[in-house]
Amino acid sequence: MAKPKQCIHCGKPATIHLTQIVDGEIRKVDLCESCQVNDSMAADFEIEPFAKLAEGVAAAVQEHGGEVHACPKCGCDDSQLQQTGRFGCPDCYEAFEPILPELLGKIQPGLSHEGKVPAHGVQRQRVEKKQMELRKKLEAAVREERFEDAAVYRDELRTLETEVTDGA
Amino acid sequence: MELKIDSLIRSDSELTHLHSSSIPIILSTRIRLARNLSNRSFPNHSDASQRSEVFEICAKAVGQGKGMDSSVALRMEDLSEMERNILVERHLVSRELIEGHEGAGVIINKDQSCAVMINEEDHLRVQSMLAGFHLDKVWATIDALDNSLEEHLDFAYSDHLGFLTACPSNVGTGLRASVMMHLPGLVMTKNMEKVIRAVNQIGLVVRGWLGEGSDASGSIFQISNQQTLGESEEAILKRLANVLKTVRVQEENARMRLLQTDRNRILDRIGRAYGILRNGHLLSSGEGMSLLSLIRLGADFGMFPKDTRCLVDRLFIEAQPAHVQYLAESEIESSARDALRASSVRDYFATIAEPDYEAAPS
Ligand SMILES: [Zn+2]
Ligand SMILES: [Zn+2]
Repeated sequence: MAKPKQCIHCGKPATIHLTQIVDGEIRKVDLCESCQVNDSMAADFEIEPFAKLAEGVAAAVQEHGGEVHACPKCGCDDSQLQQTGRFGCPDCYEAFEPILPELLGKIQPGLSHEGKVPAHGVQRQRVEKKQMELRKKLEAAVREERFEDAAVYRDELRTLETEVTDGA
Repeated sequence: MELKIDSLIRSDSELTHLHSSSIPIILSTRIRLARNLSNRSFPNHSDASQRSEVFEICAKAVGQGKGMDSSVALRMEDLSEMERNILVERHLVSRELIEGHEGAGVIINKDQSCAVMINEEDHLRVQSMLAGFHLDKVWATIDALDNSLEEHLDFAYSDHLGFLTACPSNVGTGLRASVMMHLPGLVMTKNMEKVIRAVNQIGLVVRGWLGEGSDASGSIFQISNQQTLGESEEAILKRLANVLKTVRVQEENARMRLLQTDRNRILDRIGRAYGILRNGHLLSSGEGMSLLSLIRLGADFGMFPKDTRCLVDRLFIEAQPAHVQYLAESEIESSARDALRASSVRDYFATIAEPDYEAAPS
């Protein structure tokens, strides 16, 4: 097995490895977390709290008795998350929901969003959901020959549509 | 050779020319927001055609975004290595973007105060920056741009977790605010480590800037928030602002201490820096950074004309390797680059008066 790389500043085991081309010369640097801040080369890289994240995944997996998580949409699973520290798609957050508290707890101060809300997107989502409901009701009403109800749903759908076009 | 980024280099940009707001200690303020399109795999999990599609969708929306009038859209695969490095040196794109996959690109507005990276780690990395200390103003700009993008794009968002990002360390606000600080006083008095440790304890990070070693990096440090979930944007910015004010006071105190206890050493270093920049014939980018840093300190002390500080800030960027290569109009060796860098800096310094040592406060 290869000898673990040592931090170029203090000799402790290095957790951060960087490669950069400076003036045509390749420079490789291994750093520990505490020396990373002093090494200017590290500045160009967004060093995410990788180690902590991997730790979080490992702890979470253990906590959940080896239960396996995988995203049905993109196929990202525990081992990939542990290796890359990255999710594959937005749906992954749902697939990994059971272990999110452990995962995020290591790196974030809170577990729920306190910031801005994308107002247009949320509105679009609301309208889409409403439209889907109305279409279902409309279909059912037609099937059951409740034509008065159907007319009401159709009107509501039209109003929603004009709202959308006016909004855009 | 007509380059795609010629117009960017030739026009006056926020960080290189328009900084009438250039102030001591704080160089620039920047905020970035990580955003993703809903129902699509993140860039690292996408193939070339998916990324290309994302680029088209995002580029169209960003081009119409607030404050993005007469912007340029650049795809990394269309640029030479030098051009890509110039973008990095101008702080418009990250290294990750230029080393990334097909479909990676950036949309940059006219004064280069807003740059939106596409297909970096996330589909969109919206960035806004200003010279000087302007967290509120930069937040207002980027918030408006983000809102105008959101009018046309469906972002991946959950009520509970906020904006969903490829790396869980960005989930929530997706916001990273950072301020570039010039801290030679804290470096020379060997207090930087203490500051870094204190800042780390409150969830903020300090990083050095380009160059090698703390001296050659020009004593420039970037302080930014690390956490994005569980706090509002305003709360994150407020915490950062409070810390920056404290660090600024510490730096001011360190400078005064130096002038009182070690006056000759500090004036000697500034005087020598001026001598070398005015007369040197070979200048590496590392040496350039450390000498320019001393000139900025001298300008803060009142030893140089006021607009010298703006020139230094510009040279911090224009003395970087890819910019010097651009100046040469061809590929040149690093020794030729050092000669060209020295000669261009000499020209600038020929017009700057000798330092006024009496002006330094005592
Ligand atoms: Zn170390
Ligand atoms: Zn997924």
